[in-house]
Amino acid sequence: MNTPQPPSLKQSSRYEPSVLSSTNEELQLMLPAELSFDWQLEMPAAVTVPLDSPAIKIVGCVFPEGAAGLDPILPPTGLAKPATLPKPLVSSKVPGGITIDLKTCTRVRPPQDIVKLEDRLLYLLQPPLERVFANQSMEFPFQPFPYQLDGIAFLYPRNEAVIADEMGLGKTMQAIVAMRLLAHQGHVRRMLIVCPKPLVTNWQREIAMWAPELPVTTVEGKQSRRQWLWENVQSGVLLSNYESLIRDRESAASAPAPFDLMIIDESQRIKNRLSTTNQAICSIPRRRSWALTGTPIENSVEDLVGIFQFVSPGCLQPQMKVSAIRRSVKDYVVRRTKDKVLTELPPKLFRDADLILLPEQQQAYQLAEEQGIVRLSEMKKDLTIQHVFELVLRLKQICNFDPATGASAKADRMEADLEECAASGRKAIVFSQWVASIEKLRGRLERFNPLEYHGKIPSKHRDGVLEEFRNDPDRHVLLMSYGAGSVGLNLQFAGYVFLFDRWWNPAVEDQAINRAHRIGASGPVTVTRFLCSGTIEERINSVLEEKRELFNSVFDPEAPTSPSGKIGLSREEIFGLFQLKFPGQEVSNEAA
Amino acid sequence: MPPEPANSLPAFGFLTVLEDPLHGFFGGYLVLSDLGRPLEFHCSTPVLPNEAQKILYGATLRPYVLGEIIGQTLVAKGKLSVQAVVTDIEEMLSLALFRDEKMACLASNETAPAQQTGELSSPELRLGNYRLFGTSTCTWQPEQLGAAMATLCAHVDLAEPFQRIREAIREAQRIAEPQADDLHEHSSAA
Repeated sequence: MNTPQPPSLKQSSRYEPSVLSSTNEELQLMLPAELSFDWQLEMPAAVTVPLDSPAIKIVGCVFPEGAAGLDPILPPTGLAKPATLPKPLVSSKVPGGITIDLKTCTRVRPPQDIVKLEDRLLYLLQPPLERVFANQSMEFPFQPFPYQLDGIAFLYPRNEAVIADEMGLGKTMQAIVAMRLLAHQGHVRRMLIVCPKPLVTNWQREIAMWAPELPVTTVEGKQSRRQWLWENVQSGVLLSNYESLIRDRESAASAPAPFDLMIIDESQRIKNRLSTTNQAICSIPRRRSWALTGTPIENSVEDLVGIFQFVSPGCLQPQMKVSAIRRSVKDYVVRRTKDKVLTELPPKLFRDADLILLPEQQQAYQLAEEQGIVRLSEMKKDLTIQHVFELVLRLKQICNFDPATGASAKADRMEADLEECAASGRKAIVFSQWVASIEKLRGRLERFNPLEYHGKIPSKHRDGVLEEFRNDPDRHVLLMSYGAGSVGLNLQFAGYVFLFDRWWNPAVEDQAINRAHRIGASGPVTVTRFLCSGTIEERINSVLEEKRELFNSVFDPEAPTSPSGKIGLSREEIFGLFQLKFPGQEVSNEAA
Repeated sequence: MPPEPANSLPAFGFLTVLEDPLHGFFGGYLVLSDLGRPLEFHCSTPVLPNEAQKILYGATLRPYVLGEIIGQTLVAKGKLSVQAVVTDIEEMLSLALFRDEKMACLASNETAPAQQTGELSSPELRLGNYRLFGTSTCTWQPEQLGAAMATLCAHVDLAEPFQRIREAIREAQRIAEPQADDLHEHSSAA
């Protein structure tokens, strides 16, 4: 047989006859027919092993700064992009400041609304935040905590963000440093900060500390001056307060160009989306919207809807389910709690002072309650939540002081506790809902030389009060109202907090407590909660404790969700305090 | 061959792979300015050698796949010329046979240098906590490379860009396969 073979194999595997040119046919002719044979060897089977190079595809890009060396490419507009050519505004040196420790490595990660791979990679491939600060010679008064750097890295790439850290973790500083970084890199030039009026000086101080090169203009003074500022300040930070902004809303909304960045502090102020404050804030044109709050949910998850009307309009809708809200806000909100990130913060010790009303108080309380309930029962269809509310307030006031004699189990206990506090040289903050109670308490605590901070103290005197409390060793007690003193103030030198009466909402109480229990606290903070047994205070407290979990249900994926979605008292619950049934009138849906 | 210098930016390449037991080797090549800012980035689809290649290449498989296949393709894709290509994987140094760029492998100062064998010596350079070394086929001069990298070293921890590359590879892979786990979710975001 004659099997076709590759030429190279033909020669090497065959017997070579003497006549090299002879073919098979020729040999056959030479041999006798009976001696005919096939002298060729059978070839082995061959298997081809593929050794092609593994297939490989490449994706990638040249970033704007690299492309600048190739061809001129205009940077895309829209979302904030990492810096290409940072130019410090002025000197970034902080007197006595430090450069960031390079031992940690904090990365900026792109928000989810950046979808283009090239844009996402540009964020991921940036140097760590610590290096960016160091390379730009940005100094700080002290080394930020790692979670604070995380917060800055969270804010930096986002046009829409909420820092919802627990009170005392340094939201203000994180916002200022992120703003400073954006300003250094030329992404923002004209910024607006809106905060509660008592916190304006706090912001001025913090900006001077964390971003001293940023010029700050406070919107204050006569209307004509304010209007001029709104229209003519074209760079730096414009600092306003909610009350002033409502008056200036037309000037602010018709500013010549959108603000590059707008920050609202204590953003729970705009939780009611139909309020004038919310509408005034949301009407201001801006490119970036950041909200700071320690209590994004004070009463119900609807509060978040109001805040997001500013942060990201349309992201949340009224009546959304808690689970849907949780999903929707996930990429916009960062929230850390002290127990998770500040494990070295001194502990916060709670002490519930369960008190028995003094006989005079007991008598007044019983009379007021009996008469009140009878009156409410008789009102039938005319009964509204306001009527019930009035009775609750009346009874709570009696729990503080007997209106006729001034007798007070709480004040007696307070005096005893403050003896210990003053003897140890520590300072205490006492919170009450009512200025009237504070004024009565002032008389009882005269020997402790108390200071007062509430709505009757003129704004221009308030900073002086705090400075005196901070610096005067003979001033041991600061009497504060929840309304004036529960947000934004740094009173970490106080070791004791007394809640003389209880607020309607645990979130507000937490805010108050955290004036003292925050970064810089030198020792444990003891919180004493006064509660009169067998009274309306006890009943309210038990309802609020049950509902405290709601807050976590939005921000903690493992927490169960509350079907009612409310953390404050609902109208049904307020009626239930006296075993009354809600008659169905058109009343406000919530009390707190 | 490297592209003709198209710009005057002092740039450095960082080359590494992310090894995945299921998919194989993902390559990543990052070009940084001497201030540490990203100028260019390329990453590869995963390369998974088949059984025949594993048997036939034996001990030379990793240098072949990492240097010749992944490294060469990635560096060739770069548009910006670089003063050196730094890798943190020694097998990548085989790329020096195919490219003209200076190739150097980064290691901690604490790791002992390999024994020199043969007549040809391998270049080595110490920079702070790190040492850079090449193979005998690497022709760079330690003094020159040290001078060229001085600014970069002042602004960048030389091991840090490899972390960036790995994160970027994960991100690119996550986008390519949306069903894959989100490997980089912000841990503290609510």
